[in-house]
Amino acid sequence: MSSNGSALKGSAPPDLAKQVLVQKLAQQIVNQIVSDDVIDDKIEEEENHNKEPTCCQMFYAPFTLKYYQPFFNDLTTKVIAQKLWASFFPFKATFFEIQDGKADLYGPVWIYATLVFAVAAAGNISGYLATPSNIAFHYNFDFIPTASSLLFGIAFLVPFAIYMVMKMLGGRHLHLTSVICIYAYAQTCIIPVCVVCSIPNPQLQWGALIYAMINSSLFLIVNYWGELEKNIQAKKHIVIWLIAGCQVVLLLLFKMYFFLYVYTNPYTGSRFDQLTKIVHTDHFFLHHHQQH
Amino acid sequence: MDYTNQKQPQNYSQMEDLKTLDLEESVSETIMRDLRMIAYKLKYVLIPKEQEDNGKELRNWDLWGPLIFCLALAMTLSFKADSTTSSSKSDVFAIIFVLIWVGAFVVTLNAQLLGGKVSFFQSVCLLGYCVFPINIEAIIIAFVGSYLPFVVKLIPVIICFAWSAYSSVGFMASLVPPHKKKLAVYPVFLFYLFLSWFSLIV
Repeated sequence: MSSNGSALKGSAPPDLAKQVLVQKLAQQIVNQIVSDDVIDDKIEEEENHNKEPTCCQMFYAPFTLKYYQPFFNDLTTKVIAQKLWASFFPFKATFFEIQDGKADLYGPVWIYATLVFAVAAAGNISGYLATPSNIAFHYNFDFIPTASSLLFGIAFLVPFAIYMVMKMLGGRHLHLTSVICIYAYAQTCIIPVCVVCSIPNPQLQWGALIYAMINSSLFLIVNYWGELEKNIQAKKHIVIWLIAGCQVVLLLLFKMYFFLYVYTNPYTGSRFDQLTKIVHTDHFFLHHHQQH
Repeated sequence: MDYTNQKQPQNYSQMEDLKTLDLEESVSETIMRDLRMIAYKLKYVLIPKEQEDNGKELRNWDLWGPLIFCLALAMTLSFKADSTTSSSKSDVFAIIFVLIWVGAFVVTLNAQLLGGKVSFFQSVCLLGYCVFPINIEAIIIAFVGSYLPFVVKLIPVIICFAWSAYSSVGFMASLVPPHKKKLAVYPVFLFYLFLSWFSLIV
């Protein structure tokens, strides 16, 4: 820089040289200011990284999208498919191995959404098939808001209860999101059960719902068995009864609200009978009738 | 999109002239301009051959189209609702309306959380436009459904559902990384299944 200045000083008239010098000084000053700003910004950024989040920021974090990003980031279709498949085989405790520490919230949201659709549709189909053909069937739209409130309510409340109880009884290595996740995957078996329950036969419906209850409770208990054995030993029955009890209540609610209508009067013949053309023999019903 | 035959304004006074002209044009002209825009977008979204520029037209999103189709679907289904359901007409209308907007919101949110980089309203706009085939099937079934057996009713339902799902799946799948494609596509499928089921049932 200085050599240029001296070279210019020698060749050009003094005014021009002064102008050039002033310009160069101005440029240097501007560069200095800009770099100062840049350095200030960098320092601020580092400070922000090192600073603890303030109380306010921690409070409204769950309302931002970024808070939930980690739960959707490490997913692959393959892992979720494996987890869904594992939920149908409750005797092998492989869920936490497949999950490998990355709890996801994709499963809970979409399993419950599918369940709402399945239950509302199946409840209406079973009601439609169970009513006699001479009675008009009224599609019940109220199943959808009811099913949504019920399922999305238990999606959070029951895992929260299980989490609190296990934490109080001494469980370690528990995370609320992980409990929500595994509870949702435990409910996957109810989706095919709903499809089966759209047939209005009461024995079939009770059988399928009891299978769903046993499957989901076993899945939860078997996968948490390690945790229960190690940390909660003596009081693990409390957790087991809590899980099983919640599942029983849920499935009773399903039966009593969504799948309430079954064959009421075998003589008139429901639409299901007409569909499958079941032949009622006179002997059976005469005998049945005489007994009453 | 310049549907009027006016030149672009060269200076401020010309722009003011243009504004007064907009105010002075007849209401039918304004409405027709908006309707033409919606029809153009609709053809673009639903007929895959029109998409030569890989979906760049979708950047000009608008929510009028989705609103019109949502209202049309909700009104069609609630007109028929009185005779066949136990809920009142307003219940059905409310459920469909909320379902479409909350459903589009949740599906878009899902795609964003899975790592897709797309503007929120662009995706809602696309999902709303793809509700149009479901609208068609709802109208068909509302008018002729009572005369047809159930199996015949299923045919237009399945065709329109496949059409809606196919139009939006292409866009949605392109947003997320390849190992998460099916995860982003399934909610779209569930959304249109829900809506098709309604139009079949009522």
